[in-house]
Amino acid sequence: MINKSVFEDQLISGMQDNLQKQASNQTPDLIKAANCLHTALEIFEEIGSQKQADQLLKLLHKIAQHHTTTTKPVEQLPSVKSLMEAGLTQKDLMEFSKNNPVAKAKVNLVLRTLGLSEHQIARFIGPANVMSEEDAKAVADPNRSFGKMWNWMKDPTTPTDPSRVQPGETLQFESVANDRATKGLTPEKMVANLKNHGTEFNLADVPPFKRNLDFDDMEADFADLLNADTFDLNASDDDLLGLEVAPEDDLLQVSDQEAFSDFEDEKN
Amino acid sequence: MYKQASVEDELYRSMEKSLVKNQTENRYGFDKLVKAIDLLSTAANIFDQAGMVKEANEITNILEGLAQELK
Repeated sequence: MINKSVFEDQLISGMQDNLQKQASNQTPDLIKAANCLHTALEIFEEIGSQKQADQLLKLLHKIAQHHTTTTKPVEQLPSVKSLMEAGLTQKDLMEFSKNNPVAKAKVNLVLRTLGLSEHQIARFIGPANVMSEEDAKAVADPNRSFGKMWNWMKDPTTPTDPSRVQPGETLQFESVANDRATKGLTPEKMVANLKNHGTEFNLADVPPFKRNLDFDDMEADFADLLNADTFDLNASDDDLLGLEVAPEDDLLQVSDQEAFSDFEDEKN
Repeated sequence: MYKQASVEDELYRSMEKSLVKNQTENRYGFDKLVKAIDLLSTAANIFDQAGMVKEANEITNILEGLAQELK
């Protein structure tokens, strides 16, 4: 029969031991235990107790194997190549090291696309650099002005958009058209053209496009000269055109006989 | 004064005792065995505290086997 009082005492002492172990909260020195086992093994070998020595060796081997297999696997950061393939650039990584929030957002998004959880991302890039997916998308969105603001905050003197004209810069145009109407056009010449011709283009300089002129291209009076048999080189333009200039009148007054006859005809 | 005969006798017995002890130690290694048992006991306690019951039980089995051999 089991003595009831002894059983109760054992139970109480066992529970007390457990409580003391939990309360002490001291980590057991496993290294010391391993050293004890190793020393005991050496002693057994020395005194010729080979059986116990073998048993201890087996036990040490088991412990070593167990701790090797139960150690947590080392997590590896995705390779740079896979990060690049996922859309991260070298510039992003450099900016990330400078705490650029846009780069942080990009790194967060890329790591998420590679299948890493938020906890894993925190272990790789630090908990302070972790962003929620929504926040990362909002910050990395190129349509938002956050990135431009960040660049401006870093160096307000740097133009945000170098392709645009900055205040204080002079603008110089260069015509790409191979058109004589615009060739060599300067603001001064444009103003002069506008004053003289009513248009800013070089219309006065535009030569006729036809190389060989025909009757239609000429004034009607000059067109007759083309069919004339002779041509007086000394004749004035007035003679050639059949105009009669009255000497007593102003030199600028020109009368056309045919025109008068036409006028009289009209009167009649 | 000391009795010379009793001193000699005491010295003789003491030396004899030491010789026997050394002979048995050399032959059986009792001191070392005791030390090894203490070490095993310490290791078993540590494993027990660490919750490594399996390892602690194995050490206990080794000690039990040793005790059986020494009987």
